[in-house]
Amino acid sequence: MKWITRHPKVSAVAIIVIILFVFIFTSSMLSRYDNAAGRAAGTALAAVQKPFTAGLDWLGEQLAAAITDDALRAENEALATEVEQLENDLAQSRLDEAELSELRQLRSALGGGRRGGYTLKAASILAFEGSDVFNVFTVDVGADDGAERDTVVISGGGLVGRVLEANANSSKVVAIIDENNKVGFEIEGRSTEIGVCYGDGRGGIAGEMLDDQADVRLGDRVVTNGIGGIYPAGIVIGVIKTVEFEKDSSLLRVGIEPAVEFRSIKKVALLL
Amino acid sequence: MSYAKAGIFFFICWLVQTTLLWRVWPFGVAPNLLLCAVVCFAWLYDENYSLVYAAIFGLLLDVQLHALFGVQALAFVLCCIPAFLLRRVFNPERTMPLVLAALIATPLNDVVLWWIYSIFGSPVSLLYMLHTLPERLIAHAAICFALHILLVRTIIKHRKDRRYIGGTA
Repeated sequence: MKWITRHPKVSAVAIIVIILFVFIFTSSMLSRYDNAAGRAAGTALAAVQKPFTAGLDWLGEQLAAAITDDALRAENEALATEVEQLENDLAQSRLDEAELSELRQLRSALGGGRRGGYTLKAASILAFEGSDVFNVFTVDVGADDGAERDTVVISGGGLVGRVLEANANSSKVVAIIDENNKVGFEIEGRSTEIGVCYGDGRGGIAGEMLDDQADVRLGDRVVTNGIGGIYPAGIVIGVIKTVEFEKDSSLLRVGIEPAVEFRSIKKVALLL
Repeated sequence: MSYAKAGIFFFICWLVQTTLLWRVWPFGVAPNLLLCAVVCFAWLYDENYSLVYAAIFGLLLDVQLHALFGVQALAFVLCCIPAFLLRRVFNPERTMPLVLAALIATPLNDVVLWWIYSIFGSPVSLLYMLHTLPERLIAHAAICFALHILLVRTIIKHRKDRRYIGGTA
């Protein structure tokens, strides 16, 4: 006890470190991604951030308006709306097409089917670390809007990730470039060439083909295959950039360039 | 400076870091403003502002941006240690030791996060984490330098002087 009073700084650090280790251990062992306290805290934090983010968006719009010609701005807005509509249509058509495919039937037969007819809900990113290492961020659409755990998140480019934890007014999203986020995929146009991909820890995606003789070529587009029940089939993941056969494990490994530029992402859409 | 004022300062840093900085930072990876604030407060003040707010605001970041609860808080708390050690040798009115503390704390933060995630089953490549280190070192050094200029007037001068009888400058 005397030692503690004589070394208050060291004691304070030690006590806080021990408490934090208990937090980390508990969160990893018990409810890693979903707990009531975390949801309540997330809701409160999002409530604080939302007005600030809205203010920033408004300020950005005003600045853009100040430096952009009115006619050009109107044309820009019309084009942006059209692009958004086309992207939504494209995403929807991919989903519809996939629902008619054999993999959809297979998935249903396996009991992992999800309902069709998704609606897209646009969301802004509320909180982001800004680094490209930790791939978790918070969006401003939550359980009140229909988001729930494992709700799929996309952007115009392709698959972004899934919801880890849905609070009342916000959701924590884990990106597909996270190592623990495994996604079943197929090569677009060759639905028999399937595999599993996950984050490679370096901002890209690594994958393994189910068949070590699979016909995979550089530049092939990779889409979700719907197996697993979380990600619907037909969402673009990225493009094959490396193909390598690993002799030791007899696995055909692929490297995938993500379709989404995660570092510059600002808007996403949730499949509800 | 009181705990309330320090808390407001950290709150502003948290809000700016999570909502604004990553949008507007023009030089690639956004700097960790809260890390800079933690190191600065650990360097400047005798009180435990840095430890208390490193834990609190680290946990807030964990709630929104990390898969494990407590990792960033732990990294922030451990990042106070280089500043505490340097304080034993240098006077907090000096800027360069603070910059040195920031330069040590930046990779230390990465290593602690990597270590905790490795233990608890989310292996992240340390080399990949460190690939943006040079630009973050420069940014953190510059931010700490600016924060020191901003906050140095609030510290107690010559607090180790045997004739010191209290009060702030």
